[in-house]
Amino acid sequence: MSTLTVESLKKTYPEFNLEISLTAESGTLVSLLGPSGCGKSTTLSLITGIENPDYGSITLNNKELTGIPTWSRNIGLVFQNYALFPNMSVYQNISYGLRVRKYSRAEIRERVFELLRLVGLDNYENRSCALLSGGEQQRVALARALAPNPELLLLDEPLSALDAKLRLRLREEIQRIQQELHITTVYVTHDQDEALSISDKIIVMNSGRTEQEGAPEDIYRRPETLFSGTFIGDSSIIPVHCDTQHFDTDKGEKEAEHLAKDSADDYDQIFYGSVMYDASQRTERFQPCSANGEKDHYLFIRPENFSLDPPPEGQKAEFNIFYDAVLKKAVYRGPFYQAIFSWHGYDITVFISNLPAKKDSYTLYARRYDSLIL
Amino acid sequence: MKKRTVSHKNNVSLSFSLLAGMGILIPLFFLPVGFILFKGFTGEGSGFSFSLLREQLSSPYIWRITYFTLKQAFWSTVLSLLIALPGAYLLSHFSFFGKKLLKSLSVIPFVLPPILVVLGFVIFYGNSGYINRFLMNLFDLSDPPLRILYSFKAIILAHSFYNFPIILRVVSSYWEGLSDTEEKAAYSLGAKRIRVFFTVTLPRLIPSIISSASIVFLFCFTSFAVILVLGGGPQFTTLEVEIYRQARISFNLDTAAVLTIISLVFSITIFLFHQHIQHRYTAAGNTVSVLRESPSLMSLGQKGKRFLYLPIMLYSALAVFFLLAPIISVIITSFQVPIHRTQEVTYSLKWYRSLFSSAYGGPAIISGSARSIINSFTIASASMLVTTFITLLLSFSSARMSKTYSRILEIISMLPMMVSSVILGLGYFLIAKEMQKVGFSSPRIMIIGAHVVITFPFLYKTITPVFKEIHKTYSPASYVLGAAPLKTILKVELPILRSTLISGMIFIFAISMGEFNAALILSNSQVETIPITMYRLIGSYNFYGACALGTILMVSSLGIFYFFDTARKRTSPEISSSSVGDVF
Repeated sequence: MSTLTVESLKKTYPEFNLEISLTAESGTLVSLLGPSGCGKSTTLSLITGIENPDYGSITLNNKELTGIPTWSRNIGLVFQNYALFPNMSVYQNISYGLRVRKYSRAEIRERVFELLRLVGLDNYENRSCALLSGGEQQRVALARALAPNPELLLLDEPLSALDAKLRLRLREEIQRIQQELHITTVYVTHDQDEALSISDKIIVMNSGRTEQEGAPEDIYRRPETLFSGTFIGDSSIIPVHCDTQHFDTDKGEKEAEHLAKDSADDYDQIFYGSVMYDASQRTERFQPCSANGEKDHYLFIRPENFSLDPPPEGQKAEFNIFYDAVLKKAVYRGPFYQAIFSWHGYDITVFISNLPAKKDSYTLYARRYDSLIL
Repeated sequence: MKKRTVSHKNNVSLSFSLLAGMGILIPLFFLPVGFILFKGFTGEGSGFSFSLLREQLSSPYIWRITYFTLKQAFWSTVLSLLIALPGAYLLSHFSFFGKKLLKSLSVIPFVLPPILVVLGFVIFYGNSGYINRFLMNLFDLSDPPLRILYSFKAIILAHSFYNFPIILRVVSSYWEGLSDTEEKAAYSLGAKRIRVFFTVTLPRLIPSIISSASIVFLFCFTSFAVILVLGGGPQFTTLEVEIYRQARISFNLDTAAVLTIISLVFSITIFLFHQHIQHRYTAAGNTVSVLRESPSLMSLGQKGKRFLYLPIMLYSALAVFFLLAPIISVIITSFQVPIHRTQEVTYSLKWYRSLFSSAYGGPAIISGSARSIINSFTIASASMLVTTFITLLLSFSSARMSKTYSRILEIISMLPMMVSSVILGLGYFLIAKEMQKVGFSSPRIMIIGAHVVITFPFLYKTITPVFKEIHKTYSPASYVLGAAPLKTILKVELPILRSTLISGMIFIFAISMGEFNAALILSNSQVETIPITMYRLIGSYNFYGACALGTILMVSSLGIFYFFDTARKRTSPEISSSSVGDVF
């Protein structure tokens, strides 16, 4: 089976440096997610050999690819603009890779029809590519990339040119085909929904570097950097000052888990996520840093993890409590309201199913486990 | 673990194609220019000196010619602007019957041989031309009412009719591309129509107007056939005509070289000015066209626009008529045989037969006209093939080079545009004289050399952007699918390029067929091309023969165009919107 390993791949441009390592296990779909210009497409170009790295190695199925010309790598690539050859019919486009590899006429015929069935374009073989719709072109591009049985499939923002409904349908189809063929796939996208819904693993990229690598659930729930936390989904971030002496996110989290099991009342002062939290005081609250104070870290909480309802008495210690939050506005978003609270000058976004009774100020609760320090 | 992979093969093929292309182009361009400069900067004896230049520059005769050249170019440009700008407004704002025809006719200045335009002008506007005969019949006059031939008026009119389509084309397509949101904003802020035009619309159009006007100015500055025939004497001579006279009639090569240097200084300045303006406005235009909504063309049926129906129809009818009428008169005249002592004419192929009989010059076996037809075809085919070869090599290189280098290549490729064809002809004439000393003389080779240099920028500018786009978009797809570079070029790049390449080739074939200036300087009694033979026929007042030969020239150019164009449309799809003639 073919596992793709990219190791400390470097490429320097006048205004941009790419430095990336990644692994795509055999048969999985890995997404490269990031804003435009973050190096996703360049990474694909390097894997295909359309561009050459300055440094680093790319191995596919334990075979080193750097140094091998593009045309000998046996990789399938679906281009963002499809790049269907305008001088060829659908049949000629799909069979191109097979003709180059000198398959027999009968083999080519069989394979092309098999692929047309796979992508749902039976009877399209004689059409001219110029007359196809965007979605049809996309399917032809996928069939063309898959025809020569590549060891690796790369998709470069394959759905970005399509309208929203079609995008949804085609992404399900891409996932179905990928799982059916069990082909190792790298999927480049800037659309978080796309990445979250079809990936086995997501690699969040930012200005040429990997921000975070992990399963979609981990990327969403446990972002490791402020960038990967804010690039995907909504969130509230509050600058906080941390006791640097004790600061260690991992350790803090472990301690917190440990503490959550014990009765928190035993401790006068605990570190959670290394933010100082004083349980002995009647006023349980974070100290947001002042405007010119040290903002070395951020408290990061997803909107759905806030609650207006106080937790049961015994569990209070597991929660961070935000007193005196003033409701600024509530935006109706269909399934929920997006409520924006102002708390000590910072905005807190909360998803709630019903508007609360009108009050001057509210108290917000968020589980410590869901409160991250980034 | 450091791995630096550079595809050596790619670099080798790039350097090879670059060297081969430049290796042919550079000598073809720089040798003739160098010969002229050498001539101009060497004095009586030998060695570099300004003495010749200084001596000539002090002569009032040279300054009078320079002044006249600038003057006629200026007034021709002004008149072209006056004719073109209303049309640019109409073409860019309305859709109407005949618009397509008008637009496609605007390519005329690039394709139609100048000698044909001159002939059409004489036949149509001449003292016994169609217009005068029509007016004489209408008002029962005994003398032709319009006497415009062989005068300053004739030059200005011919230049304007010949060149206004350039401005029309450039300005109207630029205008069409501008979004009208700025105008709407101005209206919403309370500005009136006139004010909006002068404060919002015009400032945005100015660059395209200046750019196209400067190219018309350059064309008129270096105009040759029109001045030579319609100017009709030393009174109305320009630098280009004088270069030809000095070189070929007075055999005064020193003066010709000095005139060339003066002409070069002006034409290079104008060209660089044009490039500068154009660079600015295309940069701005691109950002506009990305943002623009669908073009806001109004159909004339729309309410409140009906009052424009008459002016639009009148303008396009007149423009089409004045563009086409001279050409059509040439065709009609070629079949006319006047009946002796009457106004009546009959129609026959007499003039065509006379062209191919031995009666007109030349040896008995094959007539002069037949030989010039063969010459034209040979020269046009050869220069087309050489130009295509060089262009493909250099475009291939350009697509594979970094931006900076490909920009340098683009600048080099434009050098030939700064040098007029008369000057190139003179350069090749000087080379031919040197060659004769060693016993080699072939005007055909010299004309081919000049035509390659003249046609190269057109083809290069037409196909390079498309070649680049293909290489960027489709070649990676082919590589990834397993095709090596050579296979990719043969199976993907060239087939996709074919459509553009073929239309570019037809275009430069037509330019070479109709090229008059360099051919006239390089031709001799043995080697003439169709335009040169036409010129000789006009010179001997054999207008009917000239019309017949002109019709043959037109028909053969059109025939080749039609033949290749249908082949092109049948076999390959349109992938680019870049069209021939949009070189400027």
